Amino acid sequence: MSQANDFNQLARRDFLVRTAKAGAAIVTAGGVGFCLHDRQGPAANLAGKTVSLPDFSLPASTAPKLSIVTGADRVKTVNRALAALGGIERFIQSGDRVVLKVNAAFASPAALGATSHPDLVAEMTRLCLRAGAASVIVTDNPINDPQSCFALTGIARAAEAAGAKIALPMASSFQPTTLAGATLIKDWPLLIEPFKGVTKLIGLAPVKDHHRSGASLTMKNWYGLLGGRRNVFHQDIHTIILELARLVRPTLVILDGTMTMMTNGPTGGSLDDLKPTNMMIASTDAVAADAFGATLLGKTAASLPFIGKTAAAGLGTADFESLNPVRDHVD
Amino acid sequence: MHLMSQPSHQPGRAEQFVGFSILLCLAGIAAGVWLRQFSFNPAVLAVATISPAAAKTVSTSPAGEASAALPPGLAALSSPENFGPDDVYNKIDGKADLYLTAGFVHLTCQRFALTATNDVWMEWFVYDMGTLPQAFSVLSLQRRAEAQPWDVTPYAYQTQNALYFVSGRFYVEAVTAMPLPAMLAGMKAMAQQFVAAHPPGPAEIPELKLFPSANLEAGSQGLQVADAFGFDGFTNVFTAKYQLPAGATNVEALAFLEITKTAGDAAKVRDAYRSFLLSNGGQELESAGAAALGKPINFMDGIEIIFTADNVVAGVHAAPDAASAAKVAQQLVDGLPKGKP
Amino acid sequence: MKIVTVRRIAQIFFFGLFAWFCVVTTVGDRWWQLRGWPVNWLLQLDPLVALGTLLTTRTIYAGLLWALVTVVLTILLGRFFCGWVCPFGALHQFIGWLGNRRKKHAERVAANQYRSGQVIKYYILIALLASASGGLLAEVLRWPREKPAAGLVVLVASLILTLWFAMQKVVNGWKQAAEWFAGLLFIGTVLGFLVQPEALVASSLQIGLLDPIPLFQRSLNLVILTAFDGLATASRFYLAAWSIAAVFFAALLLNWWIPRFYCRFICPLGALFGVLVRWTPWRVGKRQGECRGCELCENNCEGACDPFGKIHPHECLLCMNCLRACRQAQMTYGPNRSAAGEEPSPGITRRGFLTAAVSGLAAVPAVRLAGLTSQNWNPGVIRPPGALAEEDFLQRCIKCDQCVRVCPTNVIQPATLEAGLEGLWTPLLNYRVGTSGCQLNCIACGNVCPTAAIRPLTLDEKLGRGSFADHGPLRLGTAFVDRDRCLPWAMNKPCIVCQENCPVSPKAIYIREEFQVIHDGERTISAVAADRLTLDGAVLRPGTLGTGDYFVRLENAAAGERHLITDNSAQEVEFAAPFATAPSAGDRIFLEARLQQPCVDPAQCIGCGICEHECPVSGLRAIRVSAENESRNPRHSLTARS
Repeated sequence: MSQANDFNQLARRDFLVRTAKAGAAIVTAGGVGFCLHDRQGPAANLAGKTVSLPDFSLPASTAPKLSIVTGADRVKTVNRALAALGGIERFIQSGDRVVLKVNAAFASPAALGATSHPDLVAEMTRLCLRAGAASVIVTDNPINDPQSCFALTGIARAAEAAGAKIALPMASSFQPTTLAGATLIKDWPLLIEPFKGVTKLIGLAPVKDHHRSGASLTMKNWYGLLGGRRNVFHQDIHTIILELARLVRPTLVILDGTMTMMTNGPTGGSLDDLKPTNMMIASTDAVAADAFGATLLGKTAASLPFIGKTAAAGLGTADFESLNPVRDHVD
Repeated sequence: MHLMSQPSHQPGRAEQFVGFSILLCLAGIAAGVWLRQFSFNPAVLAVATISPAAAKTVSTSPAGEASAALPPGLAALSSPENFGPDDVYNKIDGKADLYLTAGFVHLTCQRFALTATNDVWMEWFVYDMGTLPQAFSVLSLQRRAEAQPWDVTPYAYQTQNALYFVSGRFYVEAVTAMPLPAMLAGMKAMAQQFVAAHPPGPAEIPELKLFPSANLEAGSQGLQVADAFGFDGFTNVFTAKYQLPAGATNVEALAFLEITKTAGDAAKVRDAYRSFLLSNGGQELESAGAAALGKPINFMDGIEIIFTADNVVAGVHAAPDAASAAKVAQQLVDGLPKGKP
Repeated sequence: MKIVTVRRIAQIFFFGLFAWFCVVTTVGDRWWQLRGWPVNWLLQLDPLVALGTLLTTRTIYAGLLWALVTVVLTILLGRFFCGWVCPFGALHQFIGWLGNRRKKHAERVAANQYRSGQVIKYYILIALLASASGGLLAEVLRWPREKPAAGLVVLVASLILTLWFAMQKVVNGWKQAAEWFAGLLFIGTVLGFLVQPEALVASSLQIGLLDPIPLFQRSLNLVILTAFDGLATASRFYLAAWSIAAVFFAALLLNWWIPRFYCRFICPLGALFGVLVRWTPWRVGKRQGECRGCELCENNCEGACDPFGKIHPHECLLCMNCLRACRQAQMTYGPNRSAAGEEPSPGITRRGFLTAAVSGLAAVPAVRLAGLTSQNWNPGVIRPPGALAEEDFLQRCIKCDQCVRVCPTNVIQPATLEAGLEGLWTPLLNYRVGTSGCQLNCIACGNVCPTAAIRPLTLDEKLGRGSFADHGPLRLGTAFVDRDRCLPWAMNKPCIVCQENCPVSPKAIYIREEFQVIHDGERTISAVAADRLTLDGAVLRPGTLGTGDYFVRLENAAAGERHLITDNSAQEVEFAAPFATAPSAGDRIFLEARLQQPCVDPAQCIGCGICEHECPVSGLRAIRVSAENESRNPRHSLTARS
C-alpha cells in the first residue's frame, strides 16, 4: 500500500515539476512572441541605416583660399602651394587621421596622366605625417579592378613607402547614403569604411579632359567614393557632380596640372594627349579650383555646366580671381 | 484529468466533458471565421470586377479614391460597382435616359456603413457626367421639392435623408434609409473629402448669371441638355423659376434661354419652336408686352413667349397668364446684355 | 461521445475549413470568394512558419502570433495539432486507413511499430532551422568586431572555461553541453575577429519546402483545385505544378507502405512539436494494471509511438485510438507517465545534430555563390508587386503560393529554378500565361501573403498617388521592344496593340511614325483614273492595302506628300480624293506603309506586362518585360532618377 502511495507521491511530484517547466516554457514563448511581434511588417525599401560623410572643411578664415604655383617638379610645387596657403600645419594637426582621396580609376601607368601621380601622393603623405598626423589612408573606388589599379599606377608602392596605408574597397566597405534633397544620391552605396575615425580629407586630382562632363577636376574626383552601378549617373553627369560636391566637403583639394590631359579624357592613352601645363593648385574652394583648372584645358568655366551649378548652389565661386589667389613660381 | 480506455464502449464523465468542450471550441472557431469574413480584405475593396475590359477603361474610380481614405466611423460595406452607358440602366432603370441624354459617362457606386452599427448604411453614387454643366443639369432636373440649401459646392442641396451635389464634372448622390445624425455626419464628411479630391470647378456656370435675380426662386436654376419642353430643336436650355407676387399667392413662371452661335441660329431656333407649338395646337395671342417679345402662344393652357436677343434665344414657358409671362420676359430681355454675351 | 469521435470531427472540421479557405482564395465579394475569409489562418497557426520567420527576420509578423496558441496548447497537451488539426495529417491518416483496413492484426502492428528512422524528421527540422539562422549567427559573430573590448573579454572567458572543462574531464549531461557551448563560443569569437561573417553565413527560409501546411496549401491550390476549373471562366495554368504534384502524390502514396509516412519520418513541424512536448502535464500512457499483451493498442496507432511498450511521448499524436482499442481499460490520457515507461528523447545524436546543423548552415552561402541574389541576378525573375528585395524576400517566403492562387489574371507562377535552388516554388510573374498582365488596380497578392514577403500594398502606394505621389507608381520591371521581332520595326506591318493596351497615363509606350516602302512597293503606273491608279508589276493581294495604313508617294512628290489608299484590287489602288496634280502613266510611285513603331519610355513603364500579354507575336513576344528598374531593388534601376 505504501508502495502505491509512494508511487502516487512520486507521480504527483513529477506532474508538478513537469507542469512548472511547461509553465516556464509557455511564459518564455509568450514573452518572445509578444516582444518581437511586428504588426506593421517590412518597410518599402529595406535600406537599413544610411550613413553620411562628416564635414571635413575648416572654418571660414581670412587666410588665403587658393594658390597657383607654376613649375615642373611636383614635389616642389605642391610644397610651395601649401606654403602659400599657410603651410600644411594649417590643415593637418597632431593626432589627425587623414584620408587622401586619389584618382586611381584606371590601371594605367602614371606617365599617361589618367591618375594621380605617385610622387604627389607620396609627398602629401610625408607632409601629413610630418605635421603630426596619426595615420594617412589612401583610397579610391577604381573603375577597373582595385588591386591592379593601385599597383599599376604606382600609387600603392609610393604611398606605402611614404608611410600611408592603402584602403582597397571591398563589398563591406560600402554603406547606403542619401543626400538630403538629392535626386540621384538616394540610398546609394558610399565608400565609408576608410573614413572610420578620420578627421581630415584631402582630394588629389589630375587635370583631365572628360568626354561626358567636359572636364574631370577636383569635384569629379569624388565620383570615386560611389559604389554600386554608378555608371547610371553618367546620364546626368552634371547633376551628379553637383550632388557629389554637396556630399563631400574636404579639408583641402590639390589639383595637379603638371601634365594636363587635353583630349581623349578620361582614359587618354597617348602621350600626345598630354600637355605640360606645369601648374599646381591648392584650394579650400573646389569650385574655384575647377574654374581655374578649366582654363588649363582651354575651356571656360561657363562652358562647364557643373561649375555653374555648384557655384549657384553656394558651394564656392567660379570667379577664382575674386579669391585673390596667391601665385608663385618654383624651378 | 484522466481519459481512460473503457472495456465497454461507454466514455467516462471526464472524456465526455472534454469531448464536449472541444466541440464547443470548434463551434466557436466556426463562428469566429464566419464573423471575420464580413470585414473585407483590402484587395476586395480595391476593385469590383477584375477583367481585362475593366482594366482598360477607367483606371481609378472616383468612389475608389474616396474609399481609399474614409472618414472615421465609416467602413465599406460592399465593393464598388461600375457602370457605363451600356449597362447603367441595370442600376437605375428608367432614370438612365435622363443621364444618358445629359451626356453620362460612368457611374461608380458603393455602400458604406457606420462601423459602430453595421445595420446603418448609405449608398454613394458618383456619376461622371463629362462636364460641369452636364452634371449641373442632372442635379437641377431631379431637384427635390423639399430641398434644403447646403453649401459644400455652389450646386448642392440636401434632403432629410440624402445629399446631392455637383463637384467638377461629377454629380454625387448619397442616400440612406436610416438618417441618424451619425450617418448624416459621415455622409457630409465624405462629401467634403470628395470635393477636396475633385475640385468643384468654376464657382458659377456663366450662363446662369444671365437670369435677372429679381423674383428668382433660389435654387431653381436648371439645365436641360436636350429635348427641353419636348422640342428637339433645343440644346442646352438653361431655366430658372420666377415667383411673381399676385395678391396673397405667388404666380410661377419659368424663364429659359439658350445660347446659340449666331443671331441667325437663334432666330432659326425661335422660329422652329414657334412652328412646333403652333402645329401642335398652340394659338397665337395678341402681344401683351413689347413688340420685340413677339406674340405669346397659348399652348396647352400655358403661355409661351419666345424671342431672340442677338445670339440668345430666350423666353418664358408655361406661364399661367399672358401678363405675368410678359413681365418675366421683359425682365429677362432687359437683363440680357446687348451684343454677344 | 467518445474522444475518438470528437477527434474525427475535429479532423474533418479543420480539413473542411482548410479546403474552404483554398476554394475562396479568389478576389471578389461573393460568399464563395475572398471577402474577409481568414484564408491564412492555418498558416498562421503553424509555429514552424512563425519560428522560421522569427529566425530570419527577428520579428513575428502580424497574424503569425496565432502560432503562440498552438505552442501553448502543445506544451500543455501534446501533439494535438498533428492528430486533430493538421489537414495534411488527416489526409495521410485517411489514405493510410484505406490502405490498411483489410490487413490482419499482426500486419497492422508491424506497420505501426516505432522505427528508428523516425528521428530523421528532427534532423530535417534542425537543418531547416539552421539555414534560417545564418543571419542571426552572422550578427552574433559580428559582435566581437563591433565591440572589440567586450569581444575580447568573452574570448578570454570562454577560453578559460573550455580549458577548465577539459581539465575536469567532465561527463555527460549539462556539463558537457556547457563545454561544447564554451568551445563554440571561443571559436565563434575568434572567427568574428578574423572573418567577415556575411561572407560565411547567410539565412534563407526553406521551411516551406516540407512544412505540411504550406505544402498542402500549394498542392491543393495549384494541383487539386485545377480539376474544378470547368466551373471557372478560364482554366488556370501553373508552370511548376508538376514538381508540386510529384512531391504531394509521393507523400500520399507512401502511406500505403507505412501509414502516416510523412508525419513519422519527414514532417519538420511534427518534429518541432516533438521537441515541445517534453514537459506536458498530461500524456498518453498505460495505467498500473493488468496489461494482457494483446497489442490491440498498436493496431491503429497513428504516431507509431509504441504505447504497448516504452511509449515515445514525442511521437504520440493524441489520436486516442489506443484508448478506444484497449479492452482492459489500460490506456489513459492523464497526469502520470506511462506505467510501462517512457522513451525520454527522440534519439538525436550529437553527430546527427551537428551534421544537420552544419549542412543547413553551410548550404545557404554555398547556394548564394551562384550570385543570384547579387551580381548574377536573373532579370527574368519578376516578383509580384510589393515583393521585398530578393534577399529579404527569400527570408520570408514560405512558398505557400497563396499569391499564385489569388492572382486574378493568373500571371503569378511558382518558380522552378529561375531564382535558384532557394527560389523553388516562390512566386514570379510570367506574362505570357494568364488572361492579362498585372492589373493596375489589383492589390491581391500582398494582401494574402501571410509573412509579408510581399508587402500588403494600398492602392495609393501601388499607383503612386496621395501620400506616395513623389515615389511614383510601383514598378515591376521594364518592357523592352524587340525590334527584330516587332511587326512595325522588323516586318513593315502596322501594329500598335502594345501601345493601345498600355494602361498607365500618360502611356509608357509612344509611337515613332515612319513611312517605309513595302516589299515590291516600287511600281510604275500603267494607267491613271480620277481616283485610282493601275500598276504594273507583281500582283497585289486585294483588299490588303485599304486598312488606312498604306499610302502612295509619287516619285517627284514634295516631302511628306502622300495619298491614302482606300482599297486595292490585284492591279489597282484606289484613293478617297483625286490627285491635285495627276501623275501620268509611266511615272514611278512608291507604295508605303505607315508604321507606328512602338518605343518604351522607361520613366513611365511599370512593367505590368499587359503589352507583353497582348503582343500578337505570340511565341517569343516582340515586347517583353524584364526586371530592370524594379522598385523593390534600387540597385537594378535603369535610369539615374529611380
